Amino acid sequence: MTGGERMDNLLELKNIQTCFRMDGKDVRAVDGVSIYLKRGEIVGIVGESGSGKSVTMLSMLQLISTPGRVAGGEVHMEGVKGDFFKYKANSDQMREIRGGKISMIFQEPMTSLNPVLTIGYQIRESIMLHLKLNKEEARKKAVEILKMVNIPDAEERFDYYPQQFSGGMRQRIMIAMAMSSEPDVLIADEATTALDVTTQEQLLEMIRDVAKKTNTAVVIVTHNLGIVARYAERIYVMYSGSVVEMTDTLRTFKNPKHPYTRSLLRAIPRLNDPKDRVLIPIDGLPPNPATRPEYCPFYDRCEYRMDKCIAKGKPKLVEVEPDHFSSCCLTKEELEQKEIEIQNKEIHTAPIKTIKNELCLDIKDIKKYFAVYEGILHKKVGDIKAIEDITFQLRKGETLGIVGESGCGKTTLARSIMRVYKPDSGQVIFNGENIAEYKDKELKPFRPQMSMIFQDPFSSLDPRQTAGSVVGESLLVHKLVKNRVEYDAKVDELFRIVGLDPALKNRVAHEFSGGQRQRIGIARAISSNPSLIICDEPISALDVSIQAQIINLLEELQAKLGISYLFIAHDLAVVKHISDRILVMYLGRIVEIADCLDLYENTLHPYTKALLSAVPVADPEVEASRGRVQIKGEVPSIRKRPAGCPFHNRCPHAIERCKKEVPKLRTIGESHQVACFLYD
Amino acid sequence: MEGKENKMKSNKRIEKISKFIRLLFKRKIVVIGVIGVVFFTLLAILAPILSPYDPNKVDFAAYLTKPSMEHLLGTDMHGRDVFSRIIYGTRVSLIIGLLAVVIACAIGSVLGMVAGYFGGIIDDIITRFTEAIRAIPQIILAMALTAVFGGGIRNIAIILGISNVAAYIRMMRGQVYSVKEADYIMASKLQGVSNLGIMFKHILPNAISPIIVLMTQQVGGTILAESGLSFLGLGISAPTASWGTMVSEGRNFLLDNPVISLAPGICVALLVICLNMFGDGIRDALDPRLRGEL
Repeated sequence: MTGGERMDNLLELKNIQTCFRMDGKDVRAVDGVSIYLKRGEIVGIVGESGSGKSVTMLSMLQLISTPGRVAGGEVHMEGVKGDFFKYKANSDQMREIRGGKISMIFQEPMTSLNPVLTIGYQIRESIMLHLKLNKEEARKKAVEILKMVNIPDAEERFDYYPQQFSGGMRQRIMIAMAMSSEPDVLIADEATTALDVTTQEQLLEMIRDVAKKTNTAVVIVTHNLGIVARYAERIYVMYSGSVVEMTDTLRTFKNPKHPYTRSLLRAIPRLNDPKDRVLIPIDGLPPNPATRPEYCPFYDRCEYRMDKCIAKGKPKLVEVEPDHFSSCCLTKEELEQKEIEIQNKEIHTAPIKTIKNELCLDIKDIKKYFAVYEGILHKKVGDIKAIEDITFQLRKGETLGIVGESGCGKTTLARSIMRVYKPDSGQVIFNGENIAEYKDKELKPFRPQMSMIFQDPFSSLDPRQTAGSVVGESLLVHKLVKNRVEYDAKVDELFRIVGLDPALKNRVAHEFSGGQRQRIGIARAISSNPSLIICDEPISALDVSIQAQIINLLEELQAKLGISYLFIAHDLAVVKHISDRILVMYLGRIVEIADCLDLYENTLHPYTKALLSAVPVADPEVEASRGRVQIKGEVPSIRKRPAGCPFHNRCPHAIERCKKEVPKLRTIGESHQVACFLYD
Repeated sequence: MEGKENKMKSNKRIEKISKFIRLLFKRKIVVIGVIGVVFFTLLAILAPILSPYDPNKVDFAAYLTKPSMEHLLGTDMHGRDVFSRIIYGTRVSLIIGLLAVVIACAIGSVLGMVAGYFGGIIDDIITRFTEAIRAIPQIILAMALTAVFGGGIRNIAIILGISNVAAYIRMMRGQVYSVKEADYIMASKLQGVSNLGIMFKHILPNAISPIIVLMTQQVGGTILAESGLSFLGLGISAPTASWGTMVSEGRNFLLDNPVISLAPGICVALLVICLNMFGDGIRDALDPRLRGEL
């Protein structure tokens, strides 16, 4: 059916159907998915949240718990007699398959290791169970595997507890444990999503090396197209419970056949984009599996749709060219013709914004320490130096991107500017006035002038308030409207500006989707007519097909209202797309500030180089030709910041001086600032 | 347009409530609890109609009679009709139970809110105060307070309310601590909303549901405590009919007419069990984690 009839497949899933019982109805989360896997192959499964990618994997291992159940399908594997689903979920055979033949690693490394047992004990248990070795041999094998996943001092760390390791290290240990039983298949379910980009790169490189060395097949389940472009050999694209396209990585990106894949690639920003690229968002939302139509699930959002799509029922996955499968009702000719139509369609270009020369924000030398107390007497034992020597300017109407890995002080910086925290020293000059020392009362007139968009649209809206009162709160607090009529009119207008129907304003937060919630958050942020908005990772919690909608909305609002943005994010492709200038932080200090293009084309600081190189680009050709700058180690805890240049212990160019002195920001060329002794 | 949306909203609310009720009654034991609570409530409301005699009418001609058609549960040592007194006793129990819980909740929630929201030294003071209250056994605290302020329905309700306050302070404080860290609180703060506004508009509605569950669960305990105090002679004083007092009065005549003590004792037990089943039912119906199983 899907080219899965070949005999040399290691693992074959046929027509998997998984249902969840919700409100008395069966909802099909996975609707007939077939996947095959060859020995030693790395396969990517990409899809948005709710597309059924993880559920497919869990169904295969019979790990679906009530109210879900596997409603149909077959799984065959080399070396296993018969169909997996013939065995009971907790039978010996299934237990042997799980962990023995197929291992899985999950997203959250913090909770998947037992904190009261040493890591060595946990790995040894698994080895003794699956490989039937005795204690001594198992220990030896465990140490060997720990070395394989690059845990330094493996012998000694064998007796450490999980909490003595960092997140990245724990995920390595999880991989070690998964590999310890010498499985044939390793499933990495969003295994690196919670980690920093440089750590993510190290881990995925390692998984690839280990898999190739041991001839293990790997399934990378992710929403990140860049990761599959870099690491996978073959890609399944999933949408709303079905596979919509499957082919090798190159063709997935160069010559995608399915409208969904094509639209997705038009919607995501990439690191190698030209600056003026317009993102074309996919309209609408993925269908709710409970109300999914009988016809093609992508029809309602598809730019290529034709009337016959509805009549034809749900399209099957067919081979459109050798080894390239797509599930679309349209013929090749029809697709091509539609493609030309779409290309000729007028693209809604981003409005042009004007950057004024006046400063909106002038940050001078701010510093914020958090005191550390210990013991019952609450004695101060030291400081966490969250941010130090931060100096930068933001002009009116400009977007400054702030990037850096977790713990680098991005959020502390944002909160010090918003005056949630009082900076220990330095000046925050906002529209010409230094507000660093102001008390709460004095700050009140400034509150409407600056606002914030939060990362998590689920926790940033009060679950008990209606959308309308969330958006209108600041209007009432600052008496920006005179009466009820004006208030209602203003709230309606704000809803329309962010592209929401004002009729929805009486609903509460959980009745909206993630993207809609973020729009409400944006409406709240612009309600008081601010001159500065701090966007703290505003799109990282959203699905890829929704992200472009929000990015475009933010750009449009900036052009229309002349707002300045401080755009905090860890996704460098997005930051590059939206920012005029970019500020790179590392462990509480600025390492580089430059104009957007300058930063990418003329990268100066070694850390920035490593960071840029670690970001996977959703284009396999670019990926293949890119040089790599790998850095060793992980971001240390801010409490253990090294003396001198904070980056010196990971820097390939470190010299003696870096260990003693902290490099100051200096200007190179016109406006490129960098803090590194290499450019003295 | 507006009207339609409002109508939809109210429909949704009805749908939500009916779903809650469906969940609540899915377990038989909760149904029994609710029936019991409704039964006792009706008794209390309709006491003057239902009781055959004035509960306080003394009739020395017919004292300590056995249950008969005339006196369903017999009479006590003053010749008062036990059946009528039990019906009136329901009033005392329910009023004190509800009143005390409302008082405890009002005081406890405000203190807990202030402690949790402001933290620091205010939190320290309130928390220490709570710990001090908790260090004294509840019934002993109530006894001491009654000894000082005297009995009577109002005093007993206040005293039992105060002796229960610690649980509400602790729960509210914990709730506030977790809610106040949410981004939406930060968002309101950044928009310049005042502390009072944040506390009452944003934190309270998001922190209140476990408090309500706690209230339903504590009514039973409070009724028990009242009976206990009355039994010891510290609670409701004669001649007002209270179940605790009745048990106490009847214990000297256990051999002559055990019903005098037994009947009010059984009533206390029944009412408290029903209330607890009802409270547990509400807790489970509100708990999203249990929803799948119910």
